[in-house]
Amino acid sequence: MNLLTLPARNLLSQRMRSALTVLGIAVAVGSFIALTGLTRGLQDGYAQGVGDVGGDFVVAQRGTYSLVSSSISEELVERLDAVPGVEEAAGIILSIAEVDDEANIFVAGWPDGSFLWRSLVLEQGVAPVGDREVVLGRAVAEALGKTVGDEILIQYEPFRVAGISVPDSVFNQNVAVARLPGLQELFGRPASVSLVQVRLARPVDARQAAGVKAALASVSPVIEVSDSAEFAQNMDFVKTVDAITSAVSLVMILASSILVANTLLMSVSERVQEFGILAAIGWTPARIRLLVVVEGVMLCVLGSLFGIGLGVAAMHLVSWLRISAGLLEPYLSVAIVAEALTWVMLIGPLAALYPAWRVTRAPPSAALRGVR
Amino acid sequence: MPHLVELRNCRRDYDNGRIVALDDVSFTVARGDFIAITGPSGSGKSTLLDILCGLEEPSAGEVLYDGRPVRGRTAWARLRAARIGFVFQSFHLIPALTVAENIEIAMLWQGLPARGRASRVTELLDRLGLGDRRAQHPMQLSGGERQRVAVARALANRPELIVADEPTGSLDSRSGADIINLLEDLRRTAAITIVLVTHDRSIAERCARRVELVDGRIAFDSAREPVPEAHP
Repeated sequence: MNLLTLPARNLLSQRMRSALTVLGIAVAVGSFIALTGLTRGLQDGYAQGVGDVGGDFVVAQRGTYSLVSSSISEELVERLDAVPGVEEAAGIILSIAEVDDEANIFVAGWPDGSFLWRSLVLEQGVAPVGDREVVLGRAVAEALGKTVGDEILIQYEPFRVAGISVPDSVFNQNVAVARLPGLQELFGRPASVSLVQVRLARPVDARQAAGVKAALASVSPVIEVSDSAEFAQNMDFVKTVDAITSAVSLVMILASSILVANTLLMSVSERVQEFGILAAIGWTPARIRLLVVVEGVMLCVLGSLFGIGLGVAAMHLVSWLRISAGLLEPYLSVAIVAEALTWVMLIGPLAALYPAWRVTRAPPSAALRGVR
Repeated sequence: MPHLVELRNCRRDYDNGRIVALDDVSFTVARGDFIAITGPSGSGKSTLLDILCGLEEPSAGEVLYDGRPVRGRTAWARLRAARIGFVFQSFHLIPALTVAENIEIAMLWQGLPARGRASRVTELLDRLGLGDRRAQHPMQLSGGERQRVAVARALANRPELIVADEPTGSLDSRSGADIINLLEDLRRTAAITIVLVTHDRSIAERCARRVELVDGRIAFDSAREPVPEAHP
């Protein structure tokens, strides 16, 4: 027998109640992991997606809420292209579009002849030639059940699938790429682009790159220049999603701590005499309180273990759904799991403190008589 | 040599003094005493017993153990763990634990390694004739067996004082007699001081000292005056 035996027996003696509490904690932990993981996956996917098309810097409209709402004129793109040290500045359209009236995917419009097309690795078919042709990333093609030659409705306009690509990044596997003029017309954005991908002249030297970055930024006060990772982190809409998911996750973990407190309160109320016995045979109030807290910790540990599995499953389920094809990808890291466990293991035992205090409030003689 | 336990002018009241359970009671327990506390229902017997071992603290007055005042629940809990054993009328065993675990739990914080605790449990179970019951749960035992488990638990940490509140109250006469014989034997062979509360006159008469409470006060103490012949 040790300090774990008694709490374990107590939890097992109320199997259904303990199981429901564990489930509640598991749902909270699972939600935390799924929501945080999907948000970080979104962020990571953006960074990779922006980075693996061959650009060194991304230029976006300053203070824009999302990359979709960023707007830069083609005249400005030409000025960026003229900055010394820049090999090429390619203005692109990037937007979220409804396809086949059922799913939302990212759609990119690339300028003809830009370096971006060189990053496109085609598995089937060819690069788009006409304004109503697209190349689908393999993941989005599979999710939508499309192959070369099929028709796809983008924003209710018919496009022909000219090719299927296999980019390195998960994000780009979920993007449909078309020629820039076609998408400018589709989205009603003549002579303007969402972002500018800037490729520096080779070889790239870090100091020189920093100098070019500063020169690019000085071209216009309405733009900001970042590398791919900075770009993904700084997007206000990613920050907003991150803040919302963090808030929702924490609220759920707080709710689960109330569940722990309630379960322990019920449990200790039913076992008043038992705590009186422990006091009578010499358990100090601190040790009795520790016993209750250990019960709370056990519930949290079990709930967390199930929650990790539940979170991973939920992330895969959400990313598998057609409606989120290309937008949400699972992303699990030790940091996310550790963050979830830290919150639960911090808040759970705190929630156990009140029931633990209640247990030792009455004198042992009253507890032995079952007086609460 | 100081008394083992001494109550000095102890009062215990409830409901802002409206109900007085114990009224200015002074009482001593010497080492080796075998004391029966008797009295009608509501006379304060159990309150006296509770105060004697810190299950309840007096509203006024103080309790000295081995000549030193004891105050606070933690101090009392440590004292009980090391030096006082309990036997209750309703056994007070933990239903979720086995017989062996119900005994071992009293030793959990006494610094004994698991092997030492297991060996002590076996020793006590054999001594009390419960060797074949160690893996059973309290609900699977008879009343007499449960009370013997409670006695084994009380003995676990080799106490110098055993406090028993109506230890035979829930037992048939034969099991009750067995428990009293056991307590007498412990007092004789292990030099354990015993204080018990009882309604049973025949049990009280077997004790070396009788104390009777009436309305929260000591009405009679055989240590101070001879036993009255016609005393109820």
